[in-house]
Amino acid sequence: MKKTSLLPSPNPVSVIATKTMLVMKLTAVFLLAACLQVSAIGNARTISISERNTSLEKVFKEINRKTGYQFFYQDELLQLANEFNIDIKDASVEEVLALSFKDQPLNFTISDKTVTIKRGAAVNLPTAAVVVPPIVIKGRIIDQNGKALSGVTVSVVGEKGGVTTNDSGYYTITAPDDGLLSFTYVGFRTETLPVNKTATALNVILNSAVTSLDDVVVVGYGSQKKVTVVGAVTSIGTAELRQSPTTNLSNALAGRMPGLMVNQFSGGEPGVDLSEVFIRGIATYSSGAAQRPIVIVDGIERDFQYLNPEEVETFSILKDASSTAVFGVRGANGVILVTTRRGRIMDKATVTLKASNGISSPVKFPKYLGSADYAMLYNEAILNDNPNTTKTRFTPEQIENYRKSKGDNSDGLGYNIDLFDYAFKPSMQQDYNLNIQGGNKNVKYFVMAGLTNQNGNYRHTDLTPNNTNAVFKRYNFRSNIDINVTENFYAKLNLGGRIQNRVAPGTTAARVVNIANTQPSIYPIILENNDNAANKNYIAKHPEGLLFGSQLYRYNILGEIAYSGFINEYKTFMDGSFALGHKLDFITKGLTVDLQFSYDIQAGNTIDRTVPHESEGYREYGGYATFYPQQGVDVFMNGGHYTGAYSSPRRVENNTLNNGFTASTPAPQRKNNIQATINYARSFGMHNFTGLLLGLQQRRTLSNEIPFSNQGLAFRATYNFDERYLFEVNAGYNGSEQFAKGRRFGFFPAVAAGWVISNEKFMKSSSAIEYLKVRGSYGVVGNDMLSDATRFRYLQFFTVNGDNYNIGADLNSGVPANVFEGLLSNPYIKWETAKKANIGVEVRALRNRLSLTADVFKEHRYDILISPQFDNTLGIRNVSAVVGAPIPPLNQGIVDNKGFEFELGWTDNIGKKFSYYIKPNLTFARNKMVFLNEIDRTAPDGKSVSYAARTGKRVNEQFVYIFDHFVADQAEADKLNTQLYQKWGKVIPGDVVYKDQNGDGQITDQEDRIAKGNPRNPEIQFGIPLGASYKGFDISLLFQGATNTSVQLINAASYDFPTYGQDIIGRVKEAHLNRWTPATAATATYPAVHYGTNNNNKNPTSSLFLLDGSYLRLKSMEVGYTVPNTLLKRYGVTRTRVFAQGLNLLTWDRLSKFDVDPETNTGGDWYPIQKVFNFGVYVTF
Amino acid sequence: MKRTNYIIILLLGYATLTTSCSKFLDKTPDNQITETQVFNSWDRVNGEANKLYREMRDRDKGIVTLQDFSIAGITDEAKGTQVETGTPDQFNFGSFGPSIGMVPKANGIYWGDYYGSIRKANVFIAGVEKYKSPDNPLQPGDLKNRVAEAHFMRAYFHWLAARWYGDIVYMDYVADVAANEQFVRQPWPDFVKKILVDLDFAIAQLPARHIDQEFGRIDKGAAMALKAIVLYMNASPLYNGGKLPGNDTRAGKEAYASYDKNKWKLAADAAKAAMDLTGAVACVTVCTPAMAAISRLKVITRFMQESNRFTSTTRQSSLSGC
Repeated sequence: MKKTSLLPSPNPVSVIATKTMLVMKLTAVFLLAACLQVSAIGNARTISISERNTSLEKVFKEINRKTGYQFFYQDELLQLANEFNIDIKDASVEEVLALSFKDQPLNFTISDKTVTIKRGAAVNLPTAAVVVPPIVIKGRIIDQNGKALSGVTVSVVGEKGGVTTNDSGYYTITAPDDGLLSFTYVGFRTETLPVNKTATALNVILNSAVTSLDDVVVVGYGSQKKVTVVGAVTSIGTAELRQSPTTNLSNALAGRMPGLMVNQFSGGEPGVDLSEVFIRGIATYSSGAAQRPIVIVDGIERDFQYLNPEEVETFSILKDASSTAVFGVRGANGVILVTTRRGRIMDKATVTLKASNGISSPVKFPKYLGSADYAMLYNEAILNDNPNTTKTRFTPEQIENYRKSKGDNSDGLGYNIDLFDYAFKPSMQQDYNLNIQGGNKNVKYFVMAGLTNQNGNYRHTDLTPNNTNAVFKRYNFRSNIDINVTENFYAKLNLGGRIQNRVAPGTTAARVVNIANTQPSIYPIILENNDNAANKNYIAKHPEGLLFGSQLYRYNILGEIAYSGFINEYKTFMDGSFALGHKLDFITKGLTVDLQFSYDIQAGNTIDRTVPHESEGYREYGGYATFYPQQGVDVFMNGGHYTGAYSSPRRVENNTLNNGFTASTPAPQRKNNIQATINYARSFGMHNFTGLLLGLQQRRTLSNEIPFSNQGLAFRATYNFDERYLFEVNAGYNGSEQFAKGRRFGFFPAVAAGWVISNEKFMKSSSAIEYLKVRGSYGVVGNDMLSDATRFRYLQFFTVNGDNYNIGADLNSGVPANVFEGLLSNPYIKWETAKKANIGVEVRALRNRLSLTADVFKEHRYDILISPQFDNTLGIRNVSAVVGAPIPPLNQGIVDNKGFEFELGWTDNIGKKFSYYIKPNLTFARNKMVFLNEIDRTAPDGKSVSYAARTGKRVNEQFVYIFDHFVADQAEADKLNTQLYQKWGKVIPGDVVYKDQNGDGQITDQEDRIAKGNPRNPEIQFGIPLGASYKGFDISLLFQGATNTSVQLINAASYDFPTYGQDIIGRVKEAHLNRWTPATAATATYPAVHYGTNNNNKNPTSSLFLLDGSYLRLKSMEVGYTVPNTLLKRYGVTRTRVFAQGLNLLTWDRLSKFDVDPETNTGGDWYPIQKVFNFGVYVTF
Repeated sequence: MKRTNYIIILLLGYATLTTSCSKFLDKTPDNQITETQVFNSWDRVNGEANKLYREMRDRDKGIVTLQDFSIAGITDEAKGTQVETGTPDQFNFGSFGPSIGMVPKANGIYWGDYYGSIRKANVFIAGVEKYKSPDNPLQPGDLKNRVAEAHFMRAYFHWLAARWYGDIVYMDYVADVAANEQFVRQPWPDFVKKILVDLDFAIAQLPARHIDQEFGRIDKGAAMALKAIVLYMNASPLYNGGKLPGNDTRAGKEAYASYDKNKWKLAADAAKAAMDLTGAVACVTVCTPAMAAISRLKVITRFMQESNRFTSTTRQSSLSGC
């Protein structure tokens, strides 16, 4: 912030406002002339001053008052000045100034009663031009922890070239006297310091980009000095995000920050992998977007998932009411703030090139039993289902044959195919990035271009002329430019764009995974070409082979991957912002105004060249030809080579490709956002004030929907005394169009206070604790992210459809019968409101080696919209049916959410070359549904079954039948069957018996399921980032885990012979070998096996399949080496770093029984998340 | 620039922002219609009235009342089947009930379904009155007929529900969800009183005959016939001196124990009145032979048209199948 001040003239004329520095100078000259004439009388020739610990500014004022001399200087120059004592009588201005500037890093020139202050040591002869010989500066560069920094670029501002520090952080450079040295190091803030011949030893402490106390922290619509922040805010920077080689930024966040909860339950399919992100858990049972935090990228609500880590400067989360109140009605779920990188003042531009290459493969596929065990259990299952079965069974010889077979039936012993091996392979991914950062005091810039390429994991995609290989490509580019038009007037232009291009086979990943999960291994993928004359025609038409597919097993995995065509999907995003700002010091000092206009667009463009699938009733067949033995698929139960005729379940020729096109993924969207901001920041002695007032209008138009509009004001005022006592008030006043006029706007205030105990005098002497702050906040924030179904629900609409009713004597005399009352409105509908309290403590101790940030929080969320209309698993009470319409959504629900989080860090060095850090963090958040207007939980016999109530439980609490024991023998089975104890059909010995919770002798849905385990979203998440560096080498690891989470595994994930697609029956896993049989009754852990549907044993709410989903992962690991600069210096390279990275490398969990990944979804059609090995290099020029 | 210039610019900016602000959020869906739009347009009003006829069809499905089956399977007349999810069988086994959940396939005959239709009639009647809706400009008098038809429909839906559920609440107004209202089953005499008010209104307002274009709409005769049926139910032992075996939970069970001979008289009178109505389409025996013939002809013609359409579409589909 450069500014030029003109001291107040003794003359009453006061007009100072400038467009340019030049104009200002001219104005000053004229003024000077004017005031000289007018006020010459008062001018004295000599001055007497006697002051202790005075400042230059005071001396200037005194001189100005007594002599009328004018002073030109930049404010920041005076900050470099030292206090001094002066005692002089009847001296000239020159003498006084010479004395004042004696020990200052500044000098002055006098010209026509105007004193101009410049950098550089005092020169006693102000008018003399002295040739100053260059000086040699030596020093050492360390970081804030005292660690030596090697490879720091030290250069003279305004000159080319420079030197770098050695391994111990020392440098030597030749610089002109009174010159400026610049110290630049990647990941650290650049320092620019003056040098002169009186100070040739210059040791510098560089502050890393994020953690310094003097550094600024990004907060909502602004930034604050870290020491003065009283809200709960956590940030990470580019360095951390870079460590995870993932194409989706959300997958790089898990375990990084206290308060952030990240789960990748949606799977890892390239191009569509993303994590769900919550701040401090979930505090509402409205689902979907209503639970998620909003994301603000550079001041605008935008998506952050597909930003390139290289363009992100800081990633912050705002957690408490104080930090989110400025977002008002949108802030209750917390806020994610992302700022992109900007230019910096440097003497030359920094060009950084990144190139990396990696291998990614699914972290694990579940293991299924091979054909022999499948056959054995199959025989058992169908006998269990019906002891008198006439179905074909496997012979004992064939089971033995399977054990010996090679798997592809080349030996005639039968098939034993692993479909995961067949269909999936590791794939390559590449990431290239070029960015240029630089600037001077007039223009600063950051420009970047990036290309990310991730290949899919499918094999066999090159069998047709249309290569169906899945590829995800992303092109990111960005240009952030800051222009200082004048000293007081600036402009900013941010352009960020990306194109995402995904090519994928014409099937879905879920289907391919599902086939691999369920198709029994005894069936082939391609039928053998036998010489039977009946097949001649087929074989001639299908030189690629006859794909196996029957009336039951209708999909062929190869057909899905290779012969179902492809889609080519383009998504384009372009975000642009333009801002103008001006300092309004002429109104009052410290005031600025800023106006920002943004326009974001997105568009989709998908070419759909898939092969149309064909339906027959509920059955769907692939659009490619499939065949099966005319004698039936049971021939594969016998081994040998089939010699008979083939026939087709559906079609004998491949369908031709579609040529569809859709422009709606993502739906076209445009978003305008206008923000006007007034900022105020000023200090009066030890009293520091800041203020913010921001007005915002945003309109988002998505497809043909009514635009989504927001409007409001944000307000912030902070005060601190001497950075010791901190006070802050934040408020938002905003609303959207989805509420009734007069009920649109809400006011959301929050107050916060802090006490920096370490800045107190009594603590200054403490050597153990360097920094100690306690802070607390309380306030109200809102959540207006209601579902689409509740949009405009304050208005009562009527439905008009196309229905007719025949009236009249003639046929087709239909009259419209088409108007009726729509879903009932709620004119009083409003947002959810959260009252949040937060208390935190921040500590740095033991020479800044130990750090701790800890917070406890409590949230009371009320006015949650509840509605029994769409999904009533919670048992929400409705109005009487006599009303004739279901109750509209009402603001009635209440959820409490509380917990704590902390981050504990230790960083130190051993010797001069080895340093290390460890920084574990943990978050615990538990919610409780306090009120949801639930129905009375009573059994049909009138007894209360209050344990079945959802009220008082957690959001998404799991209610299950509790496994009691396996049916011991036929006698017990008969007894249970006569009693109709369980309602899913007759039980046999070995079947599951559930606990009768209400003792009515029957198992019923509502009365006998009780809460067990934990909700799927973990209550506790933690991360342990740690690392070390030795000379040029560095290593960073991130362990990440979660606990207090349960997963209910269903279908292919846990069942024996699961049913899917209505009638297809799947495979068995190792866990099923421990099934109940009369012989193993004592040790069995799994019930008797059944072929296909058996809702008694294979129940989606059985406690047998509710497992602990806790896990610990080695989430990411990075090893880097910074190449000594001497090697590449002559090519202009200033820094080179090579690195190897890994993602999701190791996992420890408690799901080995069913061999699934802990972040799986429930059903077994989950595309596993990716394990990545990545190698790359950063080169900085 | 001068300080004043800045201040002027700021004030102007503030002024433009605030004026554009006040309207910024005034957006309502322009693809949806509101109550006001509905009741101020004859076409919409007519469409809403006609919707009640479609409701009528869905509330009494005859031989497919239990989705794929008639109600014979749940009476002594026939045995419930187990195919096609066996809705009658599930009924017989007691699988219908609030704690178990209703069988989804038997939709249309549940308590809430009838009240859904009743609400539509009520919304129509209340809306037409509130908005003083316009009559059909081409055929004045239609609005009066539609209102009367809606009163008939309201009575008819209640009667259908009463057949299944016995003593029920008669809803002759639009219930407000915000009102803290408790609904209790009304004894049958209260119910009869209210249903007769609606039917008498319809009988008074409806024409004896509709013109050909309006053929098939409720007319006076239909309303009189329903009145006769209601009074007949009222006179039957269920509500007139009979006694239910076991635990009788009906709201007005005390009142039903006594026998009132006059109820039969009322029923008979109402039936006679319906038969004596001259010019009515409904009575095919008593009205003049010429009128009866015309009505029969219309019915038969329509029937033949329907049946021709059915056979021709079948033929077409079988052709396309070849």
